[in-house]
Amino acid sequence: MREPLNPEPDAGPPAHLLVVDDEPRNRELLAIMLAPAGYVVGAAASGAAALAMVARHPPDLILLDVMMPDMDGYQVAARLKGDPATKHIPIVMVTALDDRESRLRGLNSGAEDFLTKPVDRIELSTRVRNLLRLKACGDCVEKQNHALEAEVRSRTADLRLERDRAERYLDAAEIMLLALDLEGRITLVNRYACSILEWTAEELLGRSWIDSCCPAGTRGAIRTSFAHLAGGENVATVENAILTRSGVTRRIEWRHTLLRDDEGRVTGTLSSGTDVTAHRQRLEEVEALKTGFLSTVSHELRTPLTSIRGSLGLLASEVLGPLSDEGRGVVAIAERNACRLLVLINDILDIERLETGTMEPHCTLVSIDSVLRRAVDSMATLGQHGVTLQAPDISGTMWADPDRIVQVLVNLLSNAVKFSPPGTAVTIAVACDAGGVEFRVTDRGRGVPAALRQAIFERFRQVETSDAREKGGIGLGLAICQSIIEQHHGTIGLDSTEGAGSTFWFRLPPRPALHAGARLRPADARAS
Amino acid sequence: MKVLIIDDDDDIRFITFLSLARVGGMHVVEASGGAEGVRTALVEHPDVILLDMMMPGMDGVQTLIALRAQDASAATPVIFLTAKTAQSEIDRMMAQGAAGVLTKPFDPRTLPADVRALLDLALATP
Repeated sequence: MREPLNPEPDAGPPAHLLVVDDEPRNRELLAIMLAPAGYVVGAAASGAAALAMVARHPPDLILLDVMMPDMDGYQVAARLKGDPATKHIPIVMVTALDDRESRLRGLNSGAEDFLTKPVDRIELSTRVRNLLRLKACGDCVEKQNHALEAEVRSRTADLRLERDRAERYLDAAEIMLLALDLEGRITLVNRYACSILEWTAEELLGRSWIDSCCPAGTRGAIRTSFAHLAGGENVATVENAILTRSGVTRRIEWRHTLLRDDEGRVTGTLSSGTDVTAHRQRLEEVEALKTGFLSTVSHELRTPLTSIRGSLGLLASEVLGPLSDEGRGVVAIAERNACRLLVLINDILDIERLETGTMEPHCTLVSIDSVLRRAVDSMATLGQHGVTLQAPDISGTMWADPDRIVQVLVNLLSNAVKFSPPGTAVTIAVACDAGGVEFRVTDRGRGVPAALRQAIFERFRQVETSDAREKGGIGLGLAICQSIIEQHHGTIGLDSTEGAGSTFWFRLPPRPALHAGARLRPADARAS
Repeated sequence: MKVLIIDDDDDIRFITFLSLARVGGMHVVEASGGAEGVRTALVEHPDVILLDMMMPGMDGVQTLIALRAQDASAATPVIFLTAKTAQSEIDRMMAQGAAGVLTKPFDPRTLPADVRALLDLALATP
């Protein structure tokens, strides 16, 4: 692409010179003086003729007389130097005027050199040769410049193509790309991000991201988060709101990475974002549908069960007439199973409510003993398969939702009774100190294999697959217990020796200064 | 004690009636919907009203508001007897000035005692 630099005019074809002079004698004289060097010499008798010849066939150098009628040498030089196509042609003014002012005027009009008549042949040859060499150098440099410019244009086009392709990928993937400097100013924003934000890249570059594109109420939190990120803390993925030009808020899930210079210093952040607004709206709609569905299912299952359980209860109470022993037994079976069905419905609804956050604990300062008694009394109506319950007398209070903790205790006690051999005892122990309160429910059953001690708190998990049929329950009780205890910021666990029994325990922390999600309400006056 | 049961489900109304009348020895009057319940309350002057929540036409909360709008029934304690068990729903019923909430299914052997306990609590609370 690049031509080698060839400043030596002798190495190429002969140089073309143009002699411009209104005196034929002067033109001939200069031609004669230049002929030995092998130049091709053309001649023009006026400024106008010279301009026409230069336009047709640009020479390598012009020898220009100053004093000519119509258009003098200064005017010709100014015209040639004012035209981009001819401005590179060296001009030597040849004149009888030898004063300083004339020379300066000649040079100011763009001429490269000045020769005084009468012209010395050697001086003429030397100056012409030198100027031709300079022009050859200039031509070489210009060619190289052209080549370089062409290359730059080609590479720029390639880069544009590459960038356009990358933009198309990001458009197709619907990914926003945003780079910020350490001051939070936008240093890069891609086309897709601009389309979401409804701003052009030119409008956004250099502006503060937080002040320009984040909703007012979120700016403080986002500023803190950005400071942590820029400080090197791991804030890899976050979701937050952005504000479009038309004032619409959209939810964006961001993945962040740090930009560093060659020495590893953080220079800014690069974030890719996905618009999850529609996704979040759909989730909220599904959540609302689910809540409505659960409410309907709850109502529709409970209504027939109310009639069944009520009828059986009335029969069992014998207010409608005496039952035979067998009749009493059959009604008891039906009633027990109706209760079992109700427990299953309640468990399924509870686990959904716990997981969707629609069942939050209503914590209050409550007597430990009252909660324990309620749980033990509930067990009395469930039948205990020849198993006795041993509960301690305990004083003191705890910070908890009493209904939910009774639910946990009844669950743990029911499990302990179900899996205890007849004639054994289920023991409840309670320890209360400044660190909180701990409940322990111990049975003498078959124990839980070590491999299952964590998994047993998962939904639908039971030690034996036959347990659902033989012991009742579908494996939701412990998952519910775990959710309730976690909502209380407590811990739940299990110690067990296979073949010798299990101890299920849970700990509740003391009353916190301020619990997220726990609120105080008057002591529970509601019957259940 | 005279109790008014307002429930659109005939079976549940019958069981509730048997429980309150036979087990609890109460005098029971019935209505199968909200509007009928308000009319019955104005005529019968019950000591307490057991009110279902989900009913066609006027639901439980609308019925309670209508009862409170009538001088003759404005102060009558109302206990919801409902299959709605979500805490938010119970809170909504209590916020309307219910004396208490009992959930379905209920045990007909203990329902009269539960009603009396809630009524005593409501009367004791200024």
